[in-house]
Amino acid sequence: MDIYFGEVIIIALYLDILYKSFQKRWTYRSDAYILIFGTLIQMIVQINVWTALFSNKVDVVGVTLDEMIGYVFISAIVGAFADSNAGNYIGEKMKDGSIVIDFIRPLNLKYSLLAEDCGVHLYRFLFNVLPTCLFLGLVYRIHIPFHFFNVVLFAISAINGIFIIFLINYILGMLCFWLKDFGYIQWSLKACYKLFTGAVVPLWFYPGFLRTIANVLPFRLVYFEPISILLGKLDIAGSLNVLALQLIWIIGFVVIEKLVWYKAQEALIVFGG
Amino acid sequence: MYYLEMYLSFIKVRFQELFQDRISFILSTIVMEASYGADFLLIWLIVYKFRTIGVWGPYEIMFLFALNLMSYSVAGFFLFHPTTRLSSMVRTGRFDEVLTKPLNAFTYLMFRDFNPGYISHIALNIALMIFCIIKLGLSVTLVNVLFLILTIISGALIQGAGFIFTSVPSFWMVQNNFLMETIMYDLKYFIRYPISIYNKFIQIILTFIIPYAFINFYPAQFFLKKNDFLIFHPVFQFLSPVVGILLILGAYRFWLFGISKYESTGS
Amino acid sequence: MSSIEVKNVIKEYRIYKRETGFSNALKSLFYRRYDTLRAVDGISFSIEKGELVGYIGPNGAGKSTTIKMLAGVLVPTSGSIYIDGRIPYKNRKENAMHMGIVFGQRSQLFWDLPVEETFVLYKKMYRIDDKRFKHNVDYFIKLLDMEGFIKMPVRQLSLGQKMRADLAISMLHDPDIVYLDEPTIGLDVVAKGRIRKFIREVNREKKTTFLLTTHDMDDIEQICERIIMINQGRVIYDGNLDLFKEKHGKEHVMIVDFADDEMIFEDPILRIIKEEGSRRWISFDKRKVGIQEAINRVTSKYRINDFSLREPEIEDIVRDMYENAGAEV
Repeated sequence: MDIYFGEVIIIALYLDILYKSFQKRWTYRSDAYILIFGTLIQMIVQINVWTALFSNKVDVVGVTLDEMIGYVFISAIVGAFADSNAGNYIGEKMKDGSIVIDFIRPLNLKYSLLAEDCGVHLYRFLFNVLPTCLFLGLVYRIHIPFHFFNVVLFAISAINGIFIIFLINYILGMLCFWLKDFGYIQWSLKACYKLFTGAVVPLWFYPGFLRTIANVLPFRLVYFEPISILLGKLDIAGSLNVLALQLIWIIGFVVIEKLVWYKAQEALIVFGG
Repeated sequence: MYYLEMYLSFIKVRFQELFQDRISFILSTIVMEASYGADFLLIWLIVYKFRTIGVWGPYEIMFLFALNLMSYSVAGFFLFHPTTRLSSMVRTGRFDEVLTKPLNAFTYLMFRDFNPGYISHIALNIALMIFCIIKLGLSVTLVNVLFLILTIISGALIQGAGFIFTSVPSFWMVQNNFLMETIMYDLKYFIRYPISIYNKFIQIILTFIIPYAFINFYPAQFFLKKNDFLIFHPVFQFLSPVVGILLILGAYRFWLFGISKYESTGS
Repeated sequence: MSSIEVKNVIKEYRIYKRETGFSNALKSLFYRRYDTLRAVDGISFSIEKGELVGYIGPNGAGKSTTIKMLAGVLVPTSGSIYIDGRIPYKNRKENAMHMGIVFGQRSQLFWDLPVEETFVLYKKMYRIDDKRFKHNVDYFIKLLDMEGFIKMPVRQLSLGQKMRADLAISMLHDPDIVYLDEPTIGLDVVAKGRIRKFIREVNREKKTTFLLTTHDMDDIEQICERIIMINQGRVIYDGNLDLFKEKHGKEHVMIVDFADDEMIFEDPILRIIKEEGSRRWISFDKRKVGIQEAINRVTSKYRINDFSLREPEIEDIVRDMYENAGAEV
């Protein structure tokens, strides 16, 4: 009973972190226009590009224009959630050694950062992506096939994707203890997002060699695969395959994360921060 | 001569500084170019797959991209730091120092705060452009080469004017980053592709209001012998230098106006 | 003709309400609300070549504003400023060629480079010829004792070393006038002493005019012959430092350790300003009571263990004046 009670309190604490993080962005809500404007332009450009590319073509490799416009919208929504500030945060703290303070905190750093991220995600979804999509939904025709089963599988795989992105950031942030600067890692990570998540260009259109690289990396599991599931491009077996693959990656990352955390802690204690 | 000599010694000083931290400079260069490269690769890839976008082929899109990034890099080399740092200089009062030098304030800032990081962009772009020119089989005549240089300079003037117009309000505003963000970055997404793929409203904005189409689209029409003149006259192909000069003159007037505000209000 | 001529200068600021948030920021592009603040309210003074002038006053009195107007950074709202016949903000470049300026905590040095590299840059900027450059560099290195750190990157220098380098840089081109805004702020006693000595020496050697603002009254006492004191944008004293002390420094202070803890000290003329155990600080006006008499009044009635007498300190006088000036307004 006691233990149960304690866990409720701890969960409440993380919810509180989530709420505070949301509130911090909320104070800048009057600046939301800027973000909306940026997202709006990116989406308009993408929709126009696909429209121009598909002119005089019914489908390319079995994909239609309607599906691509749907892809742009879903990708924007996934984009609200699939990002993490954990790497940046840990990177800064690893560099100057102030991470030791987090070692001795009663709260788990990993979960606190995840809660912090979720606050940002929620804000970004409500005040950036949702209004932009609603507005563009009035301008453009969107056809997204809604099959209950696909929606459920999409939701699960998208949440898994959030964990994957988070863990990648978290581990890379921790590597800053040895690499000293997160700036380069962040830039490289951005390049990887662009190239291998399929956020802008779905992997369907990738040439062989690039597709092979993307298949090996975990990034496609964050955008491309969940969106494919929702668009009905994968059958049940294919969808379950994606979920299984995501789980394997997550387990792998958790193991690595524990290892790196342990190593960093050890090193920090030896060097005294 | 005085200016040239001084500029050279500022360059010398800046490179000496860079030399202090070679590894991080090289690393950041590689990583940044990789990020630009990723952008570029994606655009190219998709057009390659679909063969054309509008009437433009993949190497022609590459040429558009190169013109845009090249002129941005040239402008950014001179103006990225002076303009993006202006807001904090005004807030902390470090702008005072700029006005106590025996030099034009604008010149001094350009000399002192040029951004050597953009040199690698320029190098990458030159390679990219030569590659495009070979792939597209463009004829390398004296006129073409001169017009290409003129086009890059004009594009740099347009982008430079963008830097200045978006930064000068920091003389009287706390937050001007939204201006930079929207005008310098968000709106430029449009010109990654030929503007003929957008509707007329967007085309008019990109031609008359925020004339980014003169950075790459119109001059590229000349080089690539395109005839998607949209609603506009073919003479637009040659107007980039005029647009560039007018914009930079306007931007400089605006800068002087900003300085006069500063003189009367302080920080 | 005087070197610096300031006549009836008024400087009003419009304090714009800096608004945050996008929509407010957008509005502020077109329309801004503001308050008017008069930072300098009709100041006049003239300074001759080679003078060492301390420009003092409480925070917000208008010191920095005046210096910025003299340097050509700010334009006066009304009134006139001539520096060797030039109007600073109209002939900014020309004026800059003939002045040096150091802003207390804002270094002009390049963070990652040795000081000597910045020297070379300033040689180019101020078109200093080789001979003069070499002479001045040697002179300043010796005078400021910079030999030890001239080749070290600036980021490794102490605050005092950076200040010395900044001073040298601002004077490489032999300016006629040097403005120093809080040149000793944050420095330790040794560093302060070195800088004060340097200023006096350069003034003697090159007849450079110095105008410095400071909060450190030791700076004033050890450097300046003349002070201009301002408060709330107006000059409240302008003249010789010794005269200033003579005129306003009335109060001497006796520090007395009484033998008897329980005693009650009462006197119609002597005034207790501070007490601590059996020690009392007793203040008196020298012109009303002679020093001899003041001592007598204490020692004749009470038994004492120890005794010392303190001259009026400029710090006390200045504080007194600020407070009184404030009270008048």
